[in-house]
Amino acid sequence: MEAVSLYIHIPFCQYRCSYCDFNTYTSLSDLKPAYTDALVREIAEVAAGRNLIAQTIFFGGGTPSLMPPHLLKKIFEQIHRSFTLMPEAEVTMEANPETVDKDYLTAVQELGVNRISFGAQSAVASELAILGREHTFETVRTAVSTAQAIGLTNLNIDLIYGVPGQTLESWRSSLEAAVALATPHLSLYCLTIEPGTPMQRWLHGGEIEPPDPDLAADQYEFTCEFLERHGFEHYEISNWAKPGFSSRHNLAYWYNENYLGFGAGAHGHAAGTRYAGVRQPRAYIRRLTDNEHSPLDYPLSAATADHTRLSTAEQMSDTVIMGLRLLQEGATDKRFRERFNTSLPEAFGETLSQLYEMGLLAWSDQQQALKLTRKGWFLSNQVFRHFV
Amino acid sequence: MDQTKTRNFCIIAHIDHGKSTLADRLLQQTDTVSDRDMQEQLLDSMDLEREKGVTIKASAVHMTYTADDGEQYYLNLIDTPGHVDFGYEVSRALQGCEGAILVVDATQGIEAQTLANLYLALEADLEIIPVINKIDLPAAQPELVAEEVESVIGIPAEDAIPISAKMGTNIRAVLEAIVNQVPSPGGDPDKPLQALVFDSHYDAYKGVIAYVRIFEGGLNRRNPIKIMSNGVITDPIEIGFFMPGMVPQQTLAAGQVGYIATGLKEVRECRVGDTITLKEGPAEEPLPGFLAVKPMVFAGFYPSNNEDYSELRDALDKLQLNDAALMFEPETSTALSFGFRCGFLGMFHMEIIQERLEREYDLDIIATAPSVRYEVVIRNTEEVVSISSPADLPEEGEIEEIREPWMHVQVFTPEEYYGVLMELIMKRRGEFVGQEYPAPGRIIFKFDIPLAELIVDFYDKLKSVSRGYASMDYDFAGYRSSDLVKLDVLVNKQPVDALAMIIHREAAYHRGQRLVTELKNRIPRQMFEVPIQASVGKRVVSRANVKALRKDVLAKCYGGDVSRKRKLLEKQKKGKKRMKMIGNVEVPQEAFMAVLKLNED
Repeated sequence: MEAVSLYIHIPFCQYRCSYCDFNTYTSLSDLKPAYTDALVREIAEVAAGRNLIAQTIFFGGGTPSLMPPHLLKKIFEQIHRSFTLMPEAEVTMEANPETVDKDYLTAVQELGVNRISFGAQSAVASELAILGREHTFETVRTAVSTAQAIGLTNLNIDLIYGVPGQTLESWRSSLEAAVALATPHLSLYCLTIEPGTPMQRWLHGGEIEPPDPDLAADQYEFTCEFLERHGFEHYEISNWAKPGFSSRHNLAYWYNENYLGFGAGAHGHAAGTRYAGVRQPRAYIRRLTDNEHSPLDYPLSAATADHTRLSTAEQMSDTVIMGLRLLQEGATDKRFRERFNTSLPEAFGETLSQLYEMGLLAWSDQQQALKLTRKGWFLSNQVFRHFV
Repeated sequence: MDQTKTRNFCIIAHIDHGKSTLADRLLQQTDTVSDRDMQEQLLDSMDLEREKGVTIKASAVHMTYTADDGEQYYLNLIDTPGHVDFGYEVSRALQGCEGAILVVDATQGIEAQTLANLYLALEADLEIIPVINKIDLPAAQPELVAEEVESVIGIPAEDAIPISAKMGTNIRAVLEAIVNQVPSPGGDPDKPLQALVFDSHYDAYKGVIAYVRIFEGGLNRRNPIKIMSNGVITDPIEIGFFMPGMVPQQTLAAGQVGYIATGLKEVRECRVGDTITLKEGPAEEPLPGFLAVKPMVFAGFYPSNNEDYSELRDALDKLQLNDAALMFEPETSTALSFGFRCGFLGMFHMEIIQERLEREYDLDIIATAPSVRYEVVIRNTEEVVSISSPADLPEEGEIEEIREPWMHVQVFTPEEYYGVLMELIMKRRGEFVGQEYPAPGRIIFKFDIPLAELIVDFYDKLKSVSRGYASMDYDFAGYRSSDLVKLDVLVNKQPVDALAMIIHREAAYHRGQRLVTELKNRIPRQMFEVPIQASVGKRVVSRANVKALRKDVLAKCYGGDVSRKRKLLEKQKKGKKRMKMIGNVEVPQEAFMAVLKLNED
């Protein structure tokens, strides 16, 4: 019996946001049925002959909420055939607020979805425009209350700060608007302008000002303090939750546990291997329709485009880096020792002392866990770099 | 060969006035080179020369010409380098001649450099044959230019030969003038050998090839020879003429121009200006005028990629084989790691070396700000120390006085640029000496200026303010005391050696400000605030802070991000390894390079 988390990638969007560099496509919605069949095949293939327990499921994208319920149903049916679902397993679906209504939410709830993550991004119209979002914050409000009305209350809202043109004040107003929706989870991301995105082109063309890193630092600082006052726990660098509402699926990443990725371009990590599927949905479908292939080693499938076996050293550093993202819990020595048969100080002694000295890292009270200091929250990359 | 039938001459011209083209035509007309083999501008054999339109290495070609009088003459064309940095080499080449063809562009008139070389030629007592070139161009004014020549050197305007080297017009008239006007060389074949070395190059098989003019005596290819300045004795491997390739001969006799393949391994053992004699029955005195050339301009050369250090050393070694004036010694810098302190004859020489390193040896070079050689008088002891790197300057309190080299400069320009040029000269601490009007509408400015002011883009500024019309020439005037200070740049209180410079006190503030601003913009934010300062002694003249880094966070890290973010972190870590540590501050080498590039503006 092995417990895993499942990530299922839905690579379809109605439009592309200006900052997005994810594996998603706006003109392939005709492929949804064929894509669903391919997903079903991939899930069946990977899990075949193994006794796997699914502890969390996450539909990410893209825009998973563009998938009609009858197709989602096929995917869920296969999941149930291939895995034993843990009781009360967290099942999350990402959704764009303008794509859902009461019927849709009811349908996915019936299929087993018990957590929705809404991409709201901002409550300020001009910022939504820059981000290329085609909804208003009012739509977010409606979507959230609709979900809450049918008992889907384990909700998350995504917001972005560090947006060109944003101020500390406007960020505060977005935060206030989000908190007012009473969702128990908030994911707040600092904008990264990625290569190849429209936003990067605007930046190069001088159409937008580069975001000011000091303002982003102010916004982050304000956020920490503001959400603490509102009863949120800052449990990960970019994630806040009311007690008991941390995302269990995402915790699997931060604990560096095993997860299986299904779908075009989906990443997975299991059996000491990191792997990724072919990105192009058509190629993905083709690979899984072509039955002529010899069986692959778990966790790979016919769609796998590349995979790497991790050395113990890599697994150790991944475990620390991901663990340190958990600001309250930290990288726990007990978990580390159980996994690698060595303690954190034994594995990283020199590095650790350097980082204590710089005031970026500290042990929890009883030396149980290694944590970023508050200074380290702001400079986590400087810390992580020491572990690679 | 009859000594009375020999003519040794050179061509004096400004860059682009057509010296090389005329030389090519002479070679063709005398059948020294067939038309088919005629490579464009044969004498300038290095790519770089052709590109820059100047001759770096002199050459000497032996031609046979049947004159109108029916007699056969032996003409030796000695080519001269065409830039002020090589003034000494020019003077040695001229000494090997009895005549000079003065080429003046019919559209441009006489320029400063032509004039400087012309004066050298007159000093060497050469017969001058003025030639007005480019008469085929619509803008040509041969009569006006001929009059200018007459007013400058007093040769009647009607004696100037109008030619077009490009079209081949009137070339024979030039050859006839050489035969009829240039005296035949003197020299007693029975006296002990005195051969003037006026150039050299290194050949991988035959060692140093000395270009020589035989003044007295003669030599057989089996005679052991002696280099008079250092007493080095060697058996020549071969002697002969350049026609234009090396053609071995049994003997070289008084009056002739040719080469001696010495078999020596370093050009420094057989320098330009030296005298070669025979081991048996040597001359008592060397020919006059030998000077060991001293570098005037210095800079640190560092490979931008530290791993290229040994390749840079090998390349400099190889260049030095052919260039006795190039000096270098190892130097270390905290900012730039390992490199060499190099000495050059001038900025142009430095530029050529840098370009050759980059082009021929594929090396990427960072050069520190060029510096000159200063004389420092030590307080109390009155001892004089000579320094060529700011790093070697003693503490302020120990210095009684700093002296810097000054140059005599003459600038030749059309009248309308008088004002802007005067302003440029004054801004660079120049001191006006006098002016002359060689021709209507033209001025020769004479002034003295510190060499340090000349080597930082003075020539480019001169060209740009005069739209390319002004030309200049300079020579060493002497050392003078100046109010000089060392400008240090400090990163987090630590001095950055590669950026230090010796500078006039009044310029220190402005320069310091510029360096600080540039550096501030290029040093990445650290986890603490980093002050950048420029200081003179203990006094800070400019300051700026690199603010502390407040936030460096990967906002998102989920399943699909792990390997990507890991790669990013690995890349950043590698980047960090390439950083130079100034105290506890990590500075990318690119930051220093960018600041050093400021010197090129």
